[in-house]
Amino acid sequence: MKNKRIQAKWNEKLIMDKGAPGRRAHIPMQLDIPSVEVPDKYKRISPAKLPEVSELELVRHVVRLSQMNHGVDVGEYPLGSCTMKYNPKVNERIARFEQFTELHPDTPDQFMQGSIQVIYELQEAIKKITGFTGVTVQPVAGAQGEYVGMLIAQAYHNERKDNKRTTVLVPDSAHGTNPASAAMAGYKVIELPSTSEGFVDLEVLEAALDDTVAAFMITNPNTLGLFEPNILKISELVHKAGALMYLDGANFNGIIGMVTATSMGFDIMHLNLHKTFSSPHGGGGPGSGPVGVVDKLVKYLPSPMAVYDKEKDHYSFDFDLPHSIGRLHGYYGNFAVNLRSLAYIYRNGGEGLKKVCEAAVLNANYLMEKVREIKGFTVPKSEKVPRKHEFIASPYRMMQETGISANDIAKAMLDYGVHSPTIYFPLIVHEAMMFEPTEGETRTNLDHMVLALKEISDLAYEDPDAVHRMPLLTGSSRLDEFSLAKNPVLSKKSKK
Amino acid sequence: MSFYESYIGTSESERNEMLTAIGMSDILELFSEIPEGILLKKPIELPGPYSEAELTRIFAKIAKKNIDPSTIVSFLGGGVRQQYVPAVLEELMRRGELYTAYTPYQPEVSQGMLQLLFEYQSQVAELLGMDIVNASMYDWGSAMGETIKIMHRINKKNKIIVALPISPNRIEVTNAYIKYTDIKLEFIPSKNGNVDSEKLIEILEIEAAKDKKEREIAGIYFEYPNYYGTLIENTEKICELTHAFKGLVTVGVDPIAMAILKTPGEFGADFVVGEGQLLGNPVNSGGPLLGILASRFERKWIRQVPGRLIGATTELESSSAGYCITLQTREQHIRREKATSNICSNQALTAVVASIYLSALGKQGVIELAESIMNRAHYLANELNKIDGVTAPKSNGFFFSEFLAEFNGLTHDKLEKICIDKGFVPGKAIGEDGCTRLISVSEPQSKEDLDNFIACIKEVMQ
Repeated sequence: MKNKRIQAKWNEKLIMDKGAPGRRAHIPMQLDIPSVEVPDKYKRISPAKLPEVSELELVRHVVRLSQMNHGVDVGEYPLGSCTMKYNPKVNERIARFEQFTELHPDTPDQFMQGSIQVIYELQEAIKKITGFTGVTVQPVAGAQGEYVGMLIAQAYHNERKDNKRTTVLVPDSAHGTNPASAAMAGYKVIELPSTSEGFVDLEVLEAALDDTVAAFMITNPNTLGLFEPNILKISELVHKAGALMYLDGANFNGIIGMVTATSMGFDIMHLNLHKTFSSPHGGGGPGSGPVGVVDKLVKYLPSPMAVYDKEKDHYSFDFDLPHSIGRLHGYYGNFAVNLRSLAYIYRNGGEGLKKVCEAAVLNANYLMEKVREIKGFTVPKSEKVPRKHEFIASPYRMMQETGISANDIAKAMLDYGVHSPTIYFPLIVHEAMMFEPTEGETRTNLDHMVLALKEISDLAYEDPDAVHRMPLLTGSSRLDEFSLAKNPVLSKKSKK
Repeated sequence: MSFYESYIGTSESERNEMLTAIGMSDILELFSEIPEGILLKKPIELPGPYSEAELTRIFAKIAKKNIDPSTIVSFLGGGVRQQYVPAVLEELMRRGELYTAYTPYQPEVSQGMLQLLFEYQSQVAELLGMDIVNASMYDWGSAMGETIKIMHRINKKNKIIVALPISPNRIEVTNAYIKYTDIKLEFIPSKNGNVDSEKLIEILEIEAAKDKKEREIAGIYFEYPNYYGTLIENTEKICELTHAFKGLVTVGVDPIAMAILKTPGEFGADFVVGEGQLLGNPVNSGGPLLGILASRFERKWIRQVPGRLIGATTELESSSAGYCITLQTREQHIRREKATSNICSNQALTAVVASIYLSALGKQGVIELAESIMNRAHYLANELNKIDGVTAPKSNGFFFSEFLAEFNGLTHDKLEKICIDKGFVPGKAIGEDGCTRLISVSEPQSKEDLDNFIACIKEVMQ
């Protein structure tokens, strides 16, 4: 018990089930001006049944709920491929500057020089970090960045009248968004099996490449945390076939500052600012998914682009982009997210970003060596090769010997105040558990995770039923997800 | 100085010990598979590293290049607008337990976020008169694009009727979303600053009269209030006619207006989209925003909804309530290229803001807020209209918080320049000829702000 941690359990009712008629929290200001009556034909028939709570009631409700929520600020969060790194507090302070928060995006250029400068400087910083000559920071999530990348691929091949290119290749270890984004952009997706060591199979790739392939989308380091050793050869083959190289930058924390995307031969990439560049994940979003491209693709980037006239010292938006794929967002993307990431980049500098990478990779490899020693676990594929920012452990043996699965271990870890790793992904490893500790964790925290896994392993071999019952110290125990999927209750209305 | 060490968990000596512990002596051994030729020899040239104090100063200086919000009153709207953010909301949103969390894939330790998102879904459903709301899209435009694709998937017909006026940016986003589908948008031009509901009805009647096999329309889309602030006529009839040929109706809304206007649910729409920034999220130079996507409950449709859905259930071993992500088999991480959408990261935190905001306003407050905004708009339009040369509203039909105003004899440039010098942004230019502007009011504006703007326009028009 001494290594476990207890989360609050408040049995907090739904806010709609709290309060009483007439209680008030925020009361809007009323002006001394004439009241207007809504004409009958437009009048709402019955008022919305919203809560009626006092301000203190609301505060306690949200504070209690927050205490039933795990975040990076609460405990270890080794969720693979999600890069749950520390969200620096100075970024939050900067993001609250009211000249940024209170600015309407249609404000004339001369009054939003600061906001446009942030967008412009982030474009420039990402160019340097990735090596690309054009960068947009408009896409608001990694998946939207991927979609932008695929629209650019379409625009490029179409303009060249190279209309036969209807397929996109992805490795079988790809993130789910890759095939989904390619399909949304009208491509047929072909999955390529990886080698037994988890790398791109050059023979398979070569056989799949022909004049119908528009792009090859890969993640490097891949979802096993392995750097693709043949990356230069892969780029050469793909380019020879006339296709484009797309880099999914979800795992960029494993190579940032060590190598650029263009030096590996990539033509297009997206980054996830909420991963590598420290903006908070916010319980699922908002994120930001900037896209970088090589010279020949710059003209297709989304509209508008932030530009700077050095002579006049003036920032503005360029809408005059006749080849652009258009816009994907109502305004200029998730500005406040981009702002935080620019602050992060400047706080670290080039030197710091490299150190971030080294420390993240060291933490992952240190943790991997310790987990490998725990009974029931293996680290499959390319066993002797160092990982980058993340690694896959497999409790397949434990599963066979005790019946305890990756999911059971993930749930048991919660009782130690540690969020579970990503499980059952990538699909090419049995019982995959993908750990990404990030550079933010101390050695003490890494050792705590190891200790937790050891105790769970011991218990699995002694009393597997006890593991099945975990977690017991969390805001809720295991939930009935099956009945819910059968009969979905998605709002208070449908809750009988 | 190595200021970045603040964000790294291990000390330099610990890192050396850890390296030894895994049998290495040089950190570069961890990067040995990167081809020698492409391994960067020097750090990337970027500003920094900076101390926290320097960094704060640098960004404070950049921020000051924006106009100081206390020196200008802005009448910009068109989909987003300035918010008065209640202190209680601002303070609660600083909870690190919430904003530093990932998507709640482990519900046992994520009940806080899950319950707040369920409360968001429930309260917004109630506000719109709908049954189901997803846990957020990126913005109104992406929600519109995705919903048009839903109507297409359900009805398997290619044509979507889109009734203008609609923000040109939003149309552009929608076009990007449907670019590589076989969906065809057919636009109905606006008439007198409102939706041409007669034309719309005519098109629907022709479609309904067609033989089943010849029908091409999957659904229709209009906004309420629309981009020019006015309300469309005959919503019930339009829904009925569309349903007569099994077409679907999607309505884009200002969610605050729904507190007092007949809701799409009440007049018979099937889907609702809208901009949730208006629910307590700072306007933030344009983002993050919040795409609302709502639907009537139809078992078959739920499978077509993109993005995350939070459901209410119980613990396996007790009757205690609990919440979790449900129906994930629609999503990209499971269905891959066959998923309903590629969306993964969404705008969850802005949805939490919206949820807490609606709870703070509550049943009475949301009505008071909607009325006070509407009153501001009508007062302003009335007073502006009294000025020689100004026509406000320059449209037919009842309006909510925004209206078109025509300033006769002026150019956009001239009007903007004079107003801005006096501390006002006079709304947004609509069209290039003449000087018609979209004027929008917002909660932070006082009577004095409105009166000063009216006085300013009086001066300008003389």
